[in-house]
Amino acid sequence: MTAAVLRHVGRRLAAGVLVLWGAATLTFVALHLVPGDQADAILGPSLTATPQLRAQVIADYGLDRPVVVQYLDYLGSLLTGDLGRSYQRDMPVERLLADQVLPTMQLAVSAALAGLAIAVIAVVVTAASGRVGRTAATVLELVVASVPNFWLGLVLLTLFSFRFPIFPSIGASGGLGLVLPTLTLALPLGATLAQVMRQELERADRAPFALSVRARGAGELRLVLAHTLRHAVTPAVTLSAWIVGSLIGGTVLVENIFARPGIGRLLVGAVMSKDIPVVTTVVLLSAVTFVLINTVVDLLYPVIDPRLRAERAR
Amino acid sequence: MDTRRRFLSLSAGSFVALFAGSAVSACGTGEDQAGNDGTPRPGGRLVFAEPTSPIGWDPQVGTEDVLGLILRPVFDSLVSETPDGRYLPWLATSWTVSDDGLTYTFVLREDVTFSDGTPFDANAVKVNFDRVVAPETKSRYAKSLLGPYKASTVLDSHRVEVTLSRPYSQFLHAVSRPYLGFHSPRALAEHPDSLGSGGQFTVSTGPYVFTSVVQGQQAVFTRREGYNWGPGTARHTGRPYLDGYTVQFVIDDQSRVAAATSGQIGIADQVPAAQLAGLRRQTSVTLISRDVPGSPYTYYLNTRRPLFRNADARRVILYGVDVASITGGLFQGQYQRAGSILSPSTRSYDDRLASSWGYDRARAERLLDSLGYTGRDGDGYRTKDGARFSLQFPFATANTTSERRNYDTAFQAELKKIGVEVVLTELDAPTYIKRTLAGDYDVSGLAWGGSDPSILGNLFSARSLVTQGGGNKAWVDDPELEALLDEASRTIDLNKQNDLYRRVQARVIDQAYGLPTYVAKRSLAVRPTVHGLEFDSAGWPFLYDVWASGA
Amino acid sequence: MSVELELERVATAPPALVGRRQRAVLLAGTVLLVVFAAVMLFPSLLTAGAPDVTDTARTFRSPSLTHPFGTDQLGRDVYTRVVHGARISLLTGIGAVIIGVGGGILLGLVSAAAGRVVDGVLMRFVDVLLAFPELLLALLVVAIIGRGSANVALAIGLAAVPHFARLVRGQAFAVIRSEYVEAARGLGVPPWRYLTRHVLPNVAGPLVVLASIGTGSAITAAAGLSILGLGPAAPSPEWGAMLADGQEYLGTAWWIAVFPGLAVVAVVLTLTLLGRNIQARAIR
Repeated sequence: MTAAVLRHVGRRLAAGVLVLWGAATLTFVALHLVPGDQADAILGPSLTATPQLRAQVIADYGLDRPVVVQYLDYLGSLLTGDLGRSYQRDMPVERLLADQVLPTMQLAVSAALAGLAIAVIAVVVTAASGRVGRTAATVLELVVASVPNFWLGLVLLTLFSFRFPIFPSIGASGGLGLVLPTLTLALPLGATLAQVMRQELERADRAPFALSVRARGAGELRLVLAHTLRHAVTPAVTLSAWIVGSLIGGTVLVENIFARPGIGRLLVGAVMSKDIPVVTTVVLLSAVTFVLINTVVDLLYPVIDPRLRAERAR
Repeated sequence: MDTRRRFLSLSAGSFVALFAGSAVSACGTGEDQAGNDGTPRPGGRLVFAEPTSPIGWDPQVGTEDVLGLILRPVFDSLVSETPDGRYLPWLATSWTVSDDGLTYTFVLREDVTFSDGTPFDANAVKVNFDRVVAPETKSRYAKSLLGPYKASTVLDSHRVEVTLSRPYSQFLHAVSRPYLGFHSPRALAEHPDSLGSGGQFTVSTGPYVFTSVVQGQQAVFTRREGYNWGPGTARHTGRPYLDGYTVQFVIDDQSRVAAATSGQIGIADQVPAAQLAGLRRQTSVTLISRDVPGSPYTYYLNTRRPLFRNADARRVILYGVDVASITGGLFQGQYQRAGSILSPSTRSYDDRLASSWGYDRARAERLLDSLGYTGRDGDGYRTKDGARFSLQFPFATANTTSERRNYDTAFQAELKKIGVEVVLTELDAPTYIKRTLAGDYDVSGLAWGGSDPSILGNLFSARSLVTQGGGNKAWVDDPELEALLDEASRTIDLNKQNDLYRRVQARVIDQAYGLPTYVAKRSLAVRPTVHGLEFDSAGWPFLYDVWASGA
Repeated sequence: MSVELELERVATAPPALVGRRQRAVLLAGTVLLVVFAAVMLFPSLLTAGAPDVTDTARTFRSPSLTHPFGTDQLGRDVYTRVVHGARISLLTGIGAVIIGVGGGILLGLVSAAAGRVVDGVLMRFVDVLLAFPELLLALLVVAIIGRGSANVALAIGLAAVPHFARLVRGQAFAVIRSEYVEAARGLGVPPWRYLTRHVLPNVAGPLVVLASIGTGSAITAAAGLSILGLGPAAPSPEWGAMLADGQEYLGTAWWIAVFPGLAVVAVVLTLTLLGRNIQARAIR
């Protein structure tokens, strides 16, 4: 049993490493396909770089070496944890990233939690209410899930920062500054989750055990809270890959709209200025996060969902 | 996304910031921003917001205006410059210049220390200047400031002699800039690769110490205990008033200004034109608008292109675009139309030139007729032998503000009305640089800061082509203009010099080498709690004298 | 960007709305879709003006009868620009989905029909692509091939390929292993024949649903790229670019950004509703 589990875990981890290697390679290839000269990118959009300065840059960064050598060197550095030096900002990438990871994680985690909370509340409240309420909620969820997060962000910003200055318009400092960016990400997320959860809830509601609970005279709300909700929340776990992906993509946009510091803002700037070490690191970081969370969730599936456990046992 | 990266030769060419300080005009409710509002008191912190952050934190390497602005209170200079172009002591108590102008001898203060305790002495000056010019430093601006620097010699512990290879009248101006401030020799020895990282890695002599930085978010500075060597230009001596200051980087204009009006921060820099009118009505902030000296945003017409070899083809652009009405509509009356290739706050500005030219659609269309562009194609563009009057206008995302991008779009739409096609192409920085160096464009937009009219040499001399690191984007090679520029650079008499530069401006307009557009203002939104705010010769807030009232 | 989510859903979901309401939604959605198509093909039906005509005397006008959506910073009519922008935005979305579906069918069918080794390699490749969030992948592609609507469509399409490939492979796998295809194979029917005759029609249903919803996602993603400064060049009236333009004036002239955003919401909503309803009918 443990051996089988270990083998399963090992296989999952090996697959993860393979994917990461592929991601690293793909990023390297991609950025070398970018038109424009790397030396120019390092020098930045200044017209006044002398040929000597260029030569110095090419020598320092080893840009005159064959691409294969640069690739191997790149992989080697990654393995030793050396992420390289930012071309644009004249400092090690890890120093640059160190300060940006936290704000992005704060935003992503708070948005995930808020999204889940919104979904659960919406489902519970509407489950207890009648048919009209449920339809209204369904329509509302559909609309909110269709609203692009960047537009929602702009509207929230206009209303609650510029028109009625309740929330600060800038910065990551303090919980108050986190409210609008979190809502921007959490509302569409919550609406989508609520749709899926409601389906699960309705399915659980028709299940035999719900009937027996009702027969025991339990109220609707009690039925939901104590019994069926557990089933409804499981999609949040099975959808974790989608949630993580949409949050990573979403933070890129939201950070740019709310002028929040973070990985996403760093990435867009780096893509524009062809700052290869920064771009590769950020992309890899997101891939690592993605793979890690998926692997963990995958391994935890049977623990969380008894049905899956049963299936696997079969 | 304006990085406001300055071009190297720009400030090396500017010599005395004559009008930078005097051009301050306070608007709005709090007219009195000169520091007469009560007795300065110590304590408090100032937070101010800038749209962009420097890409690195080593002033001896970087080029940005904002880098100098933020680090000015961290890096002292040998001398201080008054807004009217005189030099007062700072880290140097006195200095002498040899008769041939090749040797500068500085006598240094003896009580100055770096924040790591290292004494500031003649050797510190020498190792810093030597580092600036060393190729490994990859200095992009400070090195050009030092100009014909040859060597530094330590005469004794507090006397240093700098020798130049040719006379260089801007040398004192150069050493008054923060870009030639001093790193602690110990920092230079111990972590030479980390000086660009900022924060604790930055060790200098200034009234504030660089505490920490979060890239792209904020930089934090704290008062230096025991600081007692402020510049001669300051209004007080001893400790700086504030306990510290924080710079936040907020690229979004709306958010930056809203942060000031709601009291989140003390000063918002670079208020966009669109918000000026609204802010004037507000009592929560005072608006300080300052003219930006230098050359306004101008569309340079590439004279090397077959089409623009003909001055009449260039005049089509000069007369075919209604810059006054674009400026009025886009900036809602906040900015004025530019009348010359220099802005009004620049010395030698020719105020009579503006009336000599202007929008004249009929004239532009007559010129097009006479050039043979009499046909019209399906899209309404003028043609000659089937070929459109079409202009390539590439620009880089990284150094184009949205104000300018809007202006470019209006320029394009305006010319379409007379049948001239403008092809706007947005490029990434490397591609843009490549195209610019190859001269592969018809139109190129550029503004050039600097308070001295000698910037005209950088913009129009055949020796300052973009390939040589200059700003001659129109690729002008005009003997008459060259002679005027040459004579002006040799002339010491200011009146004569002004006259020559006025003739340069007239020649540029007459030959239509470029179309000057609008005179921008640099506006700051300042909270009433910020007192004593004045501007140094570079036009930057002078934080040493600033104090905060409670609230 | 809910393609992946829809994957989970295609097999399981009951209709979002049931009964008569569902038919009403379907009707309304179809009508709206026809309207959008008309706007896309013939913008001049709804507006007489041209989208890039500036009028410096009428900048920043708030919505009125003459300018129902107001005017922007250059005095251009926002309504006219939104109408003309439909073509660019919708074509970008449709183009992206065609690329995504095309690539997905190719990759998915080959993977399903080929042997274990090819399938393994292709699916690992898909895994690698899936490790990048879609927007990041699209961002990378645009950075490489440059901006502009066609490139944005290509970028978003490529980013969607792995998702469509997975769907196609999953559906195709089941069909290929089914008895009648096994039998066809036994009779020596060439692969392209049974793939197009039997496998593709079975995959088509879920694909249509995904493509419909995916078009909405693609339009959203394209607008997102524009906001990050990677969309088509000015002055083209692309909805995302207009939004980004107007962002600067949110405090003073909200209408410049809000109306293009509403257009995106309307289109995405319509496509999602239609996709869901087609799906619901297919299941019943």
